Amino acid sequence: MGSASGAHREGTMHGLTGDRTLMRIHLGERDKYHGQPLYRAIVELLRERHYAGATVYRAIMGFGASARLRTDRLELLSLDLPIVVECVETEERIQAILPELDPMIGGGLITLEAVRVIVYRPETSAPPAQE
Amino acid sequence: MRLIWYVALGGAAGSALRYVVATWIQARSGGPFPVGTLIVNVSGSIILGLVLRYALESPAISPEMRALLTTGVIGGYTTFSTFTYETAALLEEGDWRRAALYVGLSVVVSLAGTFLGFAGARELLAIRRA
Repeated sequence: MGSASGAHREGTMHGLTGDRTLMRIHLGERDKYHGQPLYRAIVELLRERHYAGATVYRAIMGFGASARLRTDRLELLSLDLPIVVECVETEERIQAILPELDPMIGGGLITLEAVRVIVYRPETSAPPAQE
Repeated sequence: MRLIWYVALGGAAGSALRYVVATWIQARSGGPFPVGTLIVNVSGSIILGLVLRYALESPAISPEMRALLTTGVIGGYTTFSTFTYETAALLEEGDWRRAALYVGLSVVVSLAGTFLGFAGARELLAIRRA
């Protein structure tokens, strides 16, 4: 597999293609860090450090270590829906950020898994649409 | 003081009470059936039936206190919109059996609760007059 050929054109932040690590952080929608939503604080931290990217999902149902059910089907149980933050980076960079994330996260779950990145490029470097 | 302030004060307390009661019940039920809202609406119906019937038959309870307890506290405590939201969510998932059970129980048991409240008010008034 190795690094994909066309991916290293101008404008690409860094070659991310190849064997990388996916970090997944499970939180609650109402978790806070210094008064702002925790997921936003994590995304901002990753962006400040020029990590490759991050995506936040809000889930429709779930429960965690507290065993408290959350679901968008019931009004009062929809007030703290599950949030998942995903970030794909090199194993070293993921390991480097973990000590910073740990004190930010109160209750939660962090998992790492091996992934293979096929495409990573900004929109502007996309090739013209093919017919 | 205008009646609206009594309503506002009671509403603040009643909606906070619903938050506490419904969350507590739902956390213990564990399932996806909206039992928290159901119990809130049924218990609110009993209390409103009792308080309003009692208050209207007894001059001891002022209009201000009535506005606070009924329109305010019970108005904030019970919720029709949450009932319809949760019913719609069940129907959206095609869970029409739970939806029908929820609608049936909410309407029938709440209505029975109101009559139970009336009966309670009658008992209280009888004790007062004795």
